[in-house]
Amino acid sequence: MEDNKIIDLFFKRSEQAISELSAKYGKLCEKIARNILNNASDAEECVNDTYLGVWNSIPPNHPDSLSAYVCRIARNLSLKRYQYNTASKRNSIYDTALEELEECIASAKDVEGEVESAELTKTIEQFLDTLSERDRVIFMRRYYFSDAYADIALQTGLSEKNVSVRLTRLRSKLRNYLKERDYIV
Amino acid sequence: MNTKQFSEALSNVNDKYINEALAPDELLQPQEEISTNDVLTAQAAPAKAAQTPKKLRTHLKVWRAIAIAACAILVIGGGLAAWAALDGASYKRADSYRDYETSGMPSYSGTTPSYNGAYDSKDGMAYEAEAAGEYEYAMDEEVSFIPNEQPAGGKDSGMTGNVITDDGAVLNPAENGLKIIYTAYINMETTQFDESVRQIEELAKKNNAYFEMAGVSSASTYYRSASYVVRVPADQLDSFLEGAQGICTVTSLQKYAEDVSERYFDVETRLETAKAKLARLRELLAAASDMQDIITLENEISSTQYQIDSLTGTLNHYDSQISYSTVSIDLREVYRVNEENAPLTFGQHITKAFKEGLAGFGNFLEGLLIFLAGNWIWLLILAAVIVVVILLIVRGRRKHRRQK
Repeated sequence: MEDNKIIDLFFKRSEQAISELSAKYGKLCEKIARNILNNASDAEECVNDTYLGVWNSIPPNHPDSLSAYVCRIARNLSLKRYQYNTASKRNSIYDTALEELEECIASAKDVEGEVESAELTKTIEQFLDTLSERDRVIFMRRYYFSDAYADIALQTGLSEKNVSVRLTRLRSKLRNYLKERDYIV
Repeated sequence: MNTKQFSEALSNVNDKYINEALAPDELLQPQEEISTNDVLTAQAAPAKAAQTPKKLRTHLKVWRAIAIAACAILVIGGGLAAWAALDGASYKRADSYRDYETSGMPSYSGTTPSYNGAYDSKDGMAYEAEAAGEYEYAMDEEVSFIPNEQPAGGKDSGMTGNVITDDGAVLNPAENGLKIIYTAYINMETTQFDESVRQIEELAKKNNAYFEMAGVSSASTYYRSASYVVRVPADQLDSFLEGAQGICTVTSLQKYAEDVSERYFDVETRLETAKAKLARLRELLAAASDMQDIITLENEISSTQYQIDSLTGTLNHYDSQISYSTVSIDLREVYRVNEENAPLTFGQHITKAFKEGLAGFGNFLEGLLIFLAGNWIWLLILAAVIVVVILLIVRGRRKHRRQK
């Protein structure tokens, strides 16, 4: 089904929207979640949370690209889950306490931090624009989707070693790019 | 900035980057019915991006092929070079040069002048030149024109240094006062190498000749060969050449005569003039009383003396070249000498060509066998390298297939 039709279904509050979304993007979400969390049950939960997130946010949002929209939600949820998991693994009451506190602070959003984050996003986008298409895909697959080298190699038709070498170069390029713009010293 | 911040910022990048990375993803087609759906094919961008990996794979293939070809060339070239180096080394090692010094014979280290057949027809040498030319022509036509069974004591053709006049009388150029340098080149084949070498040495001794150079090379895997430069007294050149033909099969014989009379007499005249000048200068010196004159005369005398020495040297060199002819001999060991051929009919030509082709192939196989036997270690190494390369290729291909 076309993305537009799925979004229309969401707007109509039809439950069929969820099943269509699951059919089309279920595997993708699962992959993202699994890459980040490395845990099947957590990933499953994250995927379900993603569907819920999409259901809750459309409407009012009308994303131009449903796939990117879904990915972003799945990734953000997975990251949150990951942070939660690692925090509890540290088994520190302080960490858990901070986590609890963060939830309440996050709602009253730190304007400065958000502006900074938006700027950083812009910088990253500019950086991505300097890359060739292939490098951009490799970079995104690795650092956005957290794909394994082997998967990236398969997808791009390069050898695993080549992917690794390219990523090393990309990282040093990114480092220089961020350094020039004073993000890192 | 920490990684968390970066990761969060990355989360919010524009949709187009995410879609670009997603485009060729097989995850977008989780089920059969959906993959055939027009949903995705309707998107132009993914279709375009999906082609990229295929293109990359083709590139990879091409580069791999080029790399393999380069490797192969390197290995083969290296092997050949190594073989050539090794072969050259063994050849050198096997060479055993023997230098002969003939007692009482003058030994000239001067380089042999080149005889390019520059005959001077002015001095009645036209016939000689013609004879030599004819002979050369005959050699080109039939390699095995060897007057092995030349009637002894018969008329000399252009083979000898003698000039045959129209009425059949033989003139010895030396008697005419002509200064002629004779040079001969002989290529010989023999089945009994050692015996032939011995006979050549004997022949040289018999003709009062001496060896300017003698070298016998016997590379282990090949037939032996010997080369000599023999200086034969000019009047015994003919008997020497005839003797050489008796020893073994001569495949080619070339003889050149160079008339140096003009140059010789020129040098001689200049020498006489210089000598006269020296005598005159000595007289003047005896009469001179002024110091300045004496010094000038002394200078002039020493330069004239130098001139005389140089001219005498040249004359001596000519004399040696004239009195001792130079014969270059190349002796090769074979196991079958070239047969002699009478003029052939068409059918015989064909039969001969057929036989020669067969023999040539046989020779090639023989050479190949000898080569294989002689270089088995290198061939073993080469084979090992090739096997390794093939294994690598096969493994790479299997991996590639598994990835597919």
